Amino acid sequence: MTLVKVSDSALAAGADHVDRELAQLAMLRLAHPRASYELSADHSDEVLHLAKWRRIPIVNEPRNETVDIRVLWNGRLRVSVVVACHNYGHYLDEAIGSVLAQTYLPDEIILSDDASTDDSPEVMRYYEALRNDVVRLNLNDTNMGITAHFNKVVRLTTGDLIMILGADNRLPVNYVEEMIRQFLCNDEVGIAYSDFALFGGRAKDDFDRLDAGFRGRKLPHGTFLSEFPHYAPESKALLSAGCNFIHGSSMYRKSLWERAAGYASRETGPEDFGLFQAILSLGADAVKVERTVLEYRQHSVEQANHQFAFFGELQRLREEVRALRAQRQELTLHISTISQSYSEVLGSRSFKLGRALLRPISKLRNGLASLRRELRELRGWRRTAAQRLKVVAVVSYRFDEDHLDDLKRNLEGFVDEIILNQDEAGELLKNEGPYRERLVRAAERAGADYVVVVDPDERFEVATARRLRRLMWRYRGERIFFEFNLRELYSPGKYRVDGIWGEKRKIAIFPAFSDNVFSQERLHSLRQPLNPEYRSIRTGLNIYHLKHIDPALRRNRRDLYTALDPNADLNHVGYDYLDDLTGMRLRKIPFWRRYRPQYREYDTDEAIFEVPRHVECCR
Amino acid sequence: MDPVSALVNSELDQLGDLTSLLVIGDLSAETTRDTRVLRQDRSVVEILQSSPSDHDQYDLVIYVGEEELSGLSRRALGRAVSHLARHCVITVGRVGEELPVQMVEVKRGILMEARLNSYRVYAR
Repeated sequence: MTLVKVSDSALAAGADHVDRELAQLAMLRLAHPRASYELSADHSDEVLHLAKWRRIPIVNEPRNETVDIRVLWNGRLRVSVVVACHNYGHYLDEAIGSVLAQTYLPDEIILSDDASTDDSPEVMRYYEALRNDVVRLNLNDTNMGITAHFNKVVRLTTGDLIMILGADNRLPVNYVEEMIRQFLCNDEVGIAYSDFALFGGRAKDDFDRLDAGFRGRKLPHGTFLSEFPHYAPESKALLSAGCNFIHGSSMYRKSLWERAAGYASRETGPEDFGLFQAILSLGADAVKVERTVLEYRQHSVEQANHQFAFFGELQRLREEVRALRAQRQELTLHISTISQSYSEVLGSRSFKLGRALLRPISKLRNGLASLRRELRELRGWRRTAAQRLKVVAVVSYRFDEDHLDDLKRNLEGFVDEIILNQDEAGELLKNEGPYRERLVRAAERAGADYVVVVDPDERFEVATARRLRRLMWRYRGERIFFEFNLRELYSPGKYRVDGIWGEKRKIAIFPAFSDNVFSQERLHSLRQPLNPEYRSIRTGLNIYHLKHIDPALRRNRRDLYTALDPNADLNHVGYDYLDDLTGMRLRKIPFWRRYRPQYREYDTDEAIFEVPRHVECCR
Repeated sequence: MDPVSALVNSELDQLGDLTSLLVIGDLSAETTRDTRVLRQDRSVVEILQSSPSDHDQYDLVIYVGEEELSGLSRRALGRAVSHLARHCVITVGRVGEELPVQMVEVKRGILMEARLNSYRVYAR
């Protein structure tokens, strides 16, 4: 065990010098564990508190021999920190303050101004006077530009390790200490870098511009952390591709700066990127420091990193243009080779022979194409003719007027005219057969070729418009009914399929002949003509009935029909089934069989379910 | 509410879900009464003399510096505070006597009406 103590000169110089010696002791213990350096308890309580929170062992053992930490450290790494500024006087206090507050006070701090026109030189002079034990100045008379400025000031430094801090940025208090530790423990390390914490007005913009793989967490108050990779074979490839993750305030060995010929010209990219690439190409290692970050202020698009973002984009585009030009040349070469081969084929005897043989086939193919064209024209003519058939829909409504707009939209495409009749007297419930016949006759008078009988709460599936016109044309002049599947919806997208529910059919369309005979039943009368020569055509199309979606409406419907036909004389199964959900199975309407417009909640006056006055119920 | 309490309250709102809080110095009990944060109060001396064996014990550490501390004590306290805080630290004290907290500084400002007039917020 070697008992050590803080040097008298550090104790006299102040807390930051004492803290630096304790940091050096901690690093020496790490680099030389066998030496077993321990701090003598023969210090003030304040020094011992600081050592304790640094986790340095303190030995309370009277001994005559103690070694100064300064002596142990002598000849080891010295650190120079440069604060470089051009017209950032208003940020300088924060930058310099953060360097002076370091737990490892740098051996020298050079405040370097590149001919600012603001108060930067005055601020620097103030700090030089305040801390002349460690601060030195370099004030350029004329603006040298970043590269020349940085190279000049690095030449002025006396340290072994260099770190340049932009005057608009700042350091957490452990930055220098964490960086030095990497170099002390490993001679191969040439560069120590860290993540950065973006802050300031443009921090989020710049965070969003970062490569997605480099984005880290968000801290409070609009501070964003990067998450750069460790220096490893995979990440080396990123650097080679121009994806830089070693920022300009990384620490490096001055000896390597000398061998790499300093900061590089900005013509090909950021000056620090060029320097670090050169240092790494000399075989030095880079290491990422985890326990600290650079506080990187983002305030203006004039900042160097922004300029280089645009510069980088320009470089990338230039490379793309170069690659495209190369591709074009290659393609031109291919085209000329192919053209040559093509000419050779055309001129060959075998090609000419083949062409002579194929000529009759070619004529046959052209003939077929011509026939197809004619067929298409004929079909077009048939379509036009089908459109000349007049289709009239008849709709009776009473308290369900809210359905009518949607019904009209549903009938668009295959119905030319709609006859709407408001059944104020409730004729449909007291005298259905004669009432419906009157409506059909009105359609005949309107010149209908076909009549569509539909209720306000019924919807045809979307394919009806396309397929029905074709069927109407095909069976024009014949006595046929068009039969549809009647689907009782229990939700806007599902219909019932169990038992008789899946079997329900409905005849909704028939031709309008003057000699059609209709049922005169006063309830549940058939809608279609009764003439015996009629036959039914199954369209396979669906009509969706919306009334069962609302349970209350189902019950009301059951009650209405029960009141109208209490003994079920007109419907032998009675009406309870209308509200019976036993064994119910629903099937989803496939997308291609949907109806339009979509279901919405309709405003239906409940009076629709009242038995009209003067109706004599069946007994 | 005094300016320091107002500041701390506003920061507590912004920092979000915190469950434990260490207060070093004089901060009114009312400040954190309406929060669900489990609060402990300790003096500077208690902290400096305590053992550094536990770390990340509190989501947030608030230091309200009234007494004048030597440079060495400030450095020791800065290190202790960084050691004990899991997520955030708020320090309030005289300008030029800030604690060297080893975390990322996310906000700083001046409390013009307060006796101790500068504050900083750190996070990790």
